[in-house]
Amino acid sequence: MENNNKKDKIIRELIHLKGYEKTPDNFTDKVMGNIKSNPVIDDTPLLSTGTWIAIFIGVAAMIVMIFTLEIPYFDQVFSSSGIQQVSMNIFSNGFLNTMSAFFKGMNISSVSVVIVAATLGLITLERLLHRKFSETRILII
Amino acid sequence: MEHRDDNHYINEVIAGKTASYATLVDRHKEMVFTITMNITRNREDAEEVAQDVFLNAFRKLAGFRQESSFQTWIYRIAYNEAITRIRKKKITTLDLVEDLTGNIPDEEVEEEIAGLDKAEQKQVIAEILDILPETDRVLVTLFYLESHPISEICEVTGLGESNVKVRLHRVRKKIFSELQEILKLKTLETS
Repeated sequence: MENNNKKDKIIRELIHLKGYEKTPDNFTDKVMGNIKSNPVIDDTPLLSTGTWIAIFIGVAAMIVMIFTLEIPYFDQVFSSSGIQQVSMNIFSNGFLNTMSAFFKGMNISSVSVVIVAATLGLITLERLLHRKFSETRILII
Repeated sequence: MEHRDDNHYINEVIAGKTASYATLVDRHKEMVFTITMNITRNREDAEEVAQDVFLNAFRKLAGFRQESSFQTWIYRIAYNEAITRIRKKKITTLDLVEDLTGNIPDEEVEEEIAGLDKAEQKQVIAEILDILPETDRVLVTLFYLESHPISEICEVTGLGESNVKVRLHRVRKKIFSELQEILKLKTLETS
């Protein structure tokens, strides 16, 4: 142990004698110049295009499910607010009927309103967060 | 001028006072450059990597959690950037291949070194460091030059505690045996 301590002492002295590598004189100026000339704004959206496509497919699937399946639970949920039945049968009524029922349903159903509001809410949230993060980066610069 | 800790300047930079970053660069540039030199073994590469280190650290500064040390954080960035650089350039470095046994007894090494002038001593240690693998050079610098505790060395290099201890033990042995060998050759040259 004592031998190791002695070796450590010798090595430490030699390493201290060698010291640090000297940076070029203008090193700090170059770093600061690089920082000023490279605006650091992260424009990458929080959600990628793929994620957005997945969200829209998911929302569309939800809408189709809600409007095609009979879900008694929804009737129970909205019964107290006097909302009419929200589901419709796409496959038995044909495409045109379905579409008209769809848009009709969009106008009157609270479920539709909730779905649209949720989608818009997600988009707004993403935009707000994106703007907030971008502003933080700009402030740093 | 009043001495303030790194966190003070970090907060200023985050608040928008970019110029305060120059103080952080000035404080840590030499060690960052020493680490990048230890790994790349080339001044141009080392400077380029060190510049990137400070630029990347600036970009990530908002995400830096101030409960840990800025110094350790930036050394870790330097270590990782330099390792990535040499991997990209496929620079191969020599490993510790053999354990040379010097003829100068341990107890006489100190005396022999004292017989050399400062320039020769610097040259001797530079030669020895030059043959060490890059990670070992960083360990030696952190441990002997800046006296960092093992835990911080682990944080910088990402190595485990026992690994760092074993490496330091081996590198001490290696440096000493190289020292004995060089001193022996110098003795032969002068006699």
